[in-house]
Amino acid sequence: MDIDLFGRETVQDPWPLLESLRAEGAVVKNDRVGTWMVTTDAQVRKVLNNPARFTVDGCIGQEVFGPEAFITIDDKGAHDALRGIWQVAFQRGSLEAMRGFITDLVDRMIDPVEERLRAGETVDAEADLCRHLPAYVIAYMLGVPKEHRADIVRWSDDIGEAVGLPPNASRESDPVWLRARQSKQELADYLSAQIAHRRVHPGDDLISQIVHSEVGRSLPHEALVANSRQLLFAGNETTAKWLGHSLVVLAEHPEVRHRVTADPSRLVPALEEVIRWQPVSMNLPRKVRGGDIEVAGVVIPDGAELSVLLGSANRDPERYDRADTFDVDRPFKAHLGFGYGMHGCLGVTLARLETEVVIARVLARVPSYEVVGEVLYSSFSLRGPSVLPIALR
Amino acid sequence: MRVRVERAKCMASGNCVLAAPTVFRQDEDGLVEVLDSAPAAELLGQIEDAVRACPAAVISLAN
Repeated sequence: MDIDLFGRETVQDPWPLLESLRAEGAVVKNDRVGTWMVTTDAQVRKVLNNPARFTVDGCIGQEVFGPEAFITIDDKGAHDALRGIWQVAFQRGSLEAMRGFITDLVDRMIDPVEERLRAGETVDAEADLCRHLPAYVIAYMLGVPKEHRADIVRWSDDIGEAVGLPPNASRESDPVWLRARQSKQELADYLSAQIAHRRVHPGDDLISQIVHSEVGRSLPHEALVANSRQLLFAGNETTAKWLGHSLVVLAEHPEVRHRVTADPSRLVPALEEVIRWQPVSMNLPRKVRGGDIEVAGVVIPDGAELSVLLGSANRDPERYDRADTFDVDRPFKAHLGFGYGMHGCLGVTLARLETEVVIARVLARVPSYEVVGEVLYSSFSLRGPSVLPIALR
Repeated sequence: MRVRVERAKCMASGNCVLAAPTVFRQDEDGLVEVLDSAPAAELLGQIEDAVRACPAAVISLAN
């Protein structure tokens, strides 16, 4: 098939296209982009559960984050050793201690937004609220000083755009790629200085943890930079978009919004349904290694690239009744919104905590916000609102 | 001590196997399986690590 998977129209509304792909098959070749698209829940799980044959090695994420970053390492032993450094920091018990900090931060961020809304203004909820909170939280966890957090948002946004490029985008002339390369370097330079500082002045932060860990002490400086950069990026862009999706979906479903506002214990399952129905991570690229391989009856040649479509899998009617319906009462089944297997999201618990707190505070303070203009979405692979106009009526 | 898992919520991270390799394994789909549902008391520390490390919160422990 000839599909503009990464094109503007698909990013804005991917769902009809993804439905037609699933109707075509569990694995569909995309002649325009040159990848094999995996469309069903069962096959996506199979692929992501076999990192020896379906590798991150050679995909755009590895170019963006570097071969030293654990998100791009296929070898389980090496991957787990690196990921293990930060495992404890991202566990529920450790993060629960941050709930108060996050709540205060959110309330301070909502103050000016609420004031403007009550004055009758239209506010871009993504740019003026959702985009900043996760960046501030992960920067705080990394021990990055407040005054640099605006730069971090900008660098992350540029890098996020590159992750969403088609695999065949020009590395010489694509303006998004070139801008991302620049931001990537600036972020690396910045983190490099931070790492050098923490070597001598360790603190209670994630950079100090990797620098002074047993694994970290044996790593070259570049690997410390690559892993810190990956963590910083992964910890903000994605959650910012989950927040945006949540605000849009709740505004579109007033009866659900009413219920979760009246009974906050219903909020968490509703937000989980948001990430099933509108996952941020829509596409994970993988490369076939170690010879041709059959997936769902289709032989994919060695070296071919896959587009593993989490977004399609999350609406697979084989797994979910009325998969296209946003239904907060559906019985919970593990969805693929946070990935699957070895590279499943390290920060899932932090993302859930941040989203719960932000949306709860928005609903407590401005429960009747409305979306008052067109919501613009950015990036197919990491999809979410980039412009989200809201107002009080 | 009894170990229980809710496989329907498992996201196959493999963290439990790292924490307690004699108690948990991953099946061919990557999903958690309990190898030893009534493990010896000296494994308590490992199992508590697995409970904490599970990103999907599917492991529980009862006496």
